Amino acid sequence: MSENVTTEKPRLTREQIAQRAAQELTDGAYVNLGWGIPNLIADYLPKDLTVYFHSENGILGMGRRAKPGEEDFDLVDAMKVPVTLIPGASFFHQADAHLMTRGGHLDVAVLGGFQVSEKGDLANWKIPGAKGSG
Amino acid sequence: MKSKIVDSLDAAIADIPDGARIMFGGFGGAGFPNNLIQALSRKGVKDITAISNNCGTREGELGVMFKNGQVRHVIASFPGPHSNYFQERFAKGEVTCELVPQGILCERMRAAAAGLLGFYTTVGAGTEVAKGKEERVIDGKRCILEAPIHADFALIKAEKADELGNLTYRLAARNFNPIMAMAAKMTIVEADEIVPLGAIEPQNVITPGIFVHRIVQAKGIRFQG
Repeated sequence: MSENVTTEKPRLTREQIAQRAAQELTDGAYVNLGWGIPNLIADYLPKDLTVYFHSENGILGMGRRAKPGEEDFDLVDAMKVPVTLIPGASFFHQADAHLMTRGGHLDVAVLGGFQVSEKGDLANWKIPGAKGSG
Repeated sequence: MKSKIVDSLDAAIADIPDGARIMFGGFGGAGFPNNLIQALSRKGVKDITAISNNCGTREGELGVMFKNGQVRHVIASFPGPHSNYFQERFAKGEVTCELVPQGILCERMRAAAAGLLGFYTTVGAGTEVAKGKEERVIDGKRCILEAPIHADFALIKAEKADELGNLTYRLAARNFNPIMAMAAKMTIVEADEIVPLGAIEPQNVITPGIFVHRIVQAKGIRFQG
C-alpha cells in the first residue's frame, strides 16, 4: 500500500470509528470496551441490538454515557465517565471483573491502541521513553 | 463483645505505625476511603507502602499522601495522568513503584486473603512484569509465578455497615474494596451509614463482618477530575 493512497483517504472522526465498530457487535454479546475510542461505542449501538457492556471496575450491562444532570459518580466506567445501566445489569468486585476477561467469559473485547499496524500488531500499554502509561 | 465501632476517624487509624503496608480501596473516583486517608495524612504516618489501583488524583485520594512525602513504595496498576504528586516524587527517586497488571493485582491480594502462596498466570509473561519471577510452561502456555500481596491494614469505603461489620457498597463504588477487606490483617471501614444488626438482609451482605475490624461513620468525600 503506497503512502499516497493512505494520506488521500478522508480521516474518520473518533465518533465515526466508534459508530463503525458498534456495527461489528452481535445481539446478546458480552463486550468489554477499552480505553479511548472504544469507550464511545455504547453511545452508537444500533437500536435493534442489546449488548451487555462490561467494565473492569465491576459492571455488566452498561448503557450509554450519562447526560448532563443524570450523572452518578458511583456509576462510572473504566475511564471515570459517568454511565447508565440497562435492564439486567449487575455489579461485582474488581477481581470478578478481571476473572471474566482473563477466564475467557466475554465474547468480545474492543481494544484502544496507541498504534496499530496494518497486520493488527498493537501498541497499547506504554510508549518507550515516554512518561506515564496507557 | 468488644464493639468494632470507633467514634472518630483519627481514633480509627491511631495505631497505624510508620512503615506500615496499607491497602486503599477505590477506582475512578468512586469508593475511596478519603476520610480515612485524610486522617492518616493528619497523623503524619510516614514510610508507608501503599497498595492501590492508582496513585492519587491531584491532592485527592492518595494524592495528599504523596504530596506530604508519606509514601515510600507503591504497588499499583494505574499511576495515571492526574497523579502529579506521585510522579514528582517518583521522578526524584523518593518513591519506588511496582507496576502490576490490574487483574493480577486483584488476584495477588485475593491469594493473600485465601491463604494461597501464589499462582501461575500467562499475564505479563515475556514482558518486564516477568523480571525476577519463576517462569514455566503449563499446558503449552508460557507463564510466570505471582506471589500474594499482604498488608497490615486495609482502608476501605462502604455504603452501609452494621455493628458486626457486614457491608454493602453503592453501585460501582464496590471495586477493590471487598478484595482488600479480605486480604489485610486489619480492615478499617468508613461507611456512609452504620445500621442496626439485621438491617442489612443476610442475602444482601457483600463483605461479611468476619473480614472487618473497625468501623467509623463518615460522610463520603469525592474528588472530581
